[in-house]
Amino acid sequence: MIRLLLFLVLISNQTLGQTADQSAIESIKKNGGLVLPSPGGDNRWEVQFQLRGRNLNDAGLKDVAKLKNLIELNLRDTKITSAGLTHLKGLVNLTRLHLERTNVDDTGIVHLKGLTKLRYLNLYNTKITDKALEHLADLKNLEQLYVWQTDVTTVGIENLKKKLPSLTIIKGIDLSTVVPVKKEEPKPEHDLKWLPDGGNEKPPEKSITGEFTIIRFVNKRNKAVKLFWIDYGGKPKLYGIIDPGAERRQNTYEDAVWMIADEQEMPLGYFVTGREFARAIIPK
Amino acid sequence: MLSLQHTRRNFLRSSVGLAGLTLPTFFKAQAVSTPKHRKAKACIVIYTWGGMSHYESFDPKPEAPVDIRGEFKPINTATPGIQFSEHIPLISKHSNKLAIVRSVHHNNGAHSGAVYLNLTGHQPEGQIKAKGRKNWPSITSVISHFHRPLAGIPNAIRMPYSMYDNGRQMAGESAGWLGAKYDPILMRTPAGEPYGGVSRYDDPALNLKLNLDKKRISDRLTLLEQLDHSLGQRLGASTAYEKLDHYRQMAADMLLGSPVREAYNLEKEDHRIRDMYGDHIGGQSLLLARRLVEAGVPVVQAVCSAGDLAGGGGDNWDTHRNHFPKMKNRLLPVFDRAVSALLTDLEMRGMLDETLVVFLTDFGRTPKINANGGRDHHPGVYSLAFAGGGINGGQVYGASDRNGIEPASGACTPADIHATVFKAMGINHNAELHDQLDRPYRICDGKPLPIA
Repeated sequence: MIRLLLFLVLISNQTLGQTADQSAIESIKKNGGLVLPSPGGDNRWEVQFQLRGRNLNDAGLKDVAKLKNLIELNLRDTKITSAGLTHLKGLVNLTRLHLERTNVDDTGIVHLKGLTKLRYLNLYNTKITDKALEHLADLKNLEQLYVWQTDVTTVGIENLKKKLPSLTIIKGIDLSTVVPVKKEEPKPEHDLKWLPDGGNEKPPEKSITGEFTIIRFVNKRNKAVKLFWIDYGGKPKLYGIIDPGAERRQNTYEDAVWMIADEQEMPLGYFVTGREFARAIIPK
Repeated sequence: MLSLQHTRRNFLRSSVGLAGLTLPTFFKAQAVSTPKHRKAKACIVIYTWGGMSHYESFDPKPEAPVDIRGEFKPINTATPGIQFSEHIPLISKHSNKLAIVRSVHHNNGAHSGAVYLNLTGHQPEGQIKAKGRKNWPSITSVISHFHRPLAGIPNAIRMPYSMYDNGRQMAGESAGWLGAKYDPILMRTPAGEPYGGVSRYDDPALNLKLNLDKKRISDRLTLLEQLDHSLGQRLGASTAYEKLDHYRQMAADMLLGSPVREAYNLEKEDHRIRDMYGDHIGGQSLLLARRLVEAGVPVVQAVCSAGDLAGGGGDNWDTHRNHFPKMKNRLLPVFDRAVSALLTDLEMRGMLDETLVVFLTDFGRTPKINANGGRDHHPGVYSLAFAGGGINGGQVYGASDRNGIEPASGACTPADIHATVFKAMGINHNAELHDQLDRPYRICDGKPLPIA
């Protein structure tokens, strides 16, 4: 009999827990949160706000706090602040917490002290400093901590590493050290041969594809010219107009045929590309 | 061509099991006391179209005769005992994040069969047609079937081009019998210097740069809905119609301000981050991949090559001619910068442990350097790699022989690579999926490699 009662109490407790969860879940969903069952079963939850719930504010965190069996919580890009983190105090089962790209600062991190099951904490692009790291010293299970784009210094990192030797702290790179790829424009090594329209030497009827190259057209005429690429089917395709005296840099491929025409689109002559970067001088 | 004997020998090797563990793997296995069983939530597939030479990337052979080992030298990586080829110096600093597989092999020496095999994990049977509904689904389609995104976010995205061989589109990039719903959406990368050579846009590519205002889009949609309603009543719902509807709805969702649209706008990214990836479509595609994953897209495929192999001309990995200068000057610098930027970026944003990065290619290249200074197709052995998503970095699985001709240990197949991906993504590789006629198929015939 006692066993049966105990059983009933257990069942009803569980049911009550589930109902409480259900009402919290409804509120979370209203705020754009996504609620997923977390692997491991038994009403363990994962909640994400970073996609549809970016308007979540501190008040909305009260609903999240009701989900006691919350294992993972993603608040990236939401409007929460340090004050709101006080609601997370009771979420002692959290193993993974995303606070990156929020307004959270040192004063909020103090509320995470009791979340001793945390293994992953993401604080990149927040306002935290070394002071925040001092509050994390008791999180013995913490494995990964992300502090890129914060005011955390190497001193702060070293101090925390002394207390939590197995913790990996990712500070990321200093973006001011990124050097853009210098594009060394090759110098034109020679001039392409000008094949005047109706001349003895005929250009190929169409372009064939080959290696990438660049040509620089130079218009020495005193009138503008139209630039056509003869495509793989032998059809001219207008690429642009080159003003008198102007130059044009053109990406192209080896064995391409380029036609130069006057403004009435009457052909003047042709260039056939080679592999090397070359100039194509349109004569007077 | 591979002889039957070779295949049998490889088969015997593949069943050796523990012999597949190389020395660095062995130490790694000892060092990791509590294995993490965390599963990846997203996957980025990096495809080096044309067949990336294993010699000049992840499996240099300094001991081989000079006519096999080629012009490049090996360099040390961040992991003692692991060397890469010299023209991926940035990636080599990330070796602690990478699991290199040096013993993949198959018997399909043609691009069409090899890309199908590497993307679907299954041998092509009979005539395979691009986008054919009898084809096996691409790995991207299968992943998206199990990792469903929020409404309005595409199941899978691929970019920046479809793969073609001399004007013929390849099979293997689509959802096949899984149905149009799981076809990855082709997206144009909106920035960066294009790969030299030929790239084709015959498929409808999604170009979100359209500068339509939202009001006009909604108006058009309302009009379309009214039209559809009357049309639907007259015609009844047909499959083709539903398919069209699926695409249109998706395009509309994206235009009307889903996180995907925001992700697509690379102008919003810090310019220094853009510089880090490199101002090339190869780099900007991987940057876009990261942004799409952040926006909730479960799987993204980036082809790091020109779209059409075009007889070996242009910036693709089918290096039958001028192999060394092309690798050194055109292909590896873009690849090196883009991949290392992606790994750096994913790591410092705390995304790497939940994002699986997998490198696929057609096959390796021949040991012999041909008369045109090129290396030809070599499916006998080649290298692939994994990073992130619970994969243990700093290890090499398997090995090729002294001259890089065939597996010496740990022989494995594209199917095993797929099984490894599925396991890392928390998908049972023995799962059954059903085609449009409800016929069951087991998704994978391989076994996961012990690298997670």
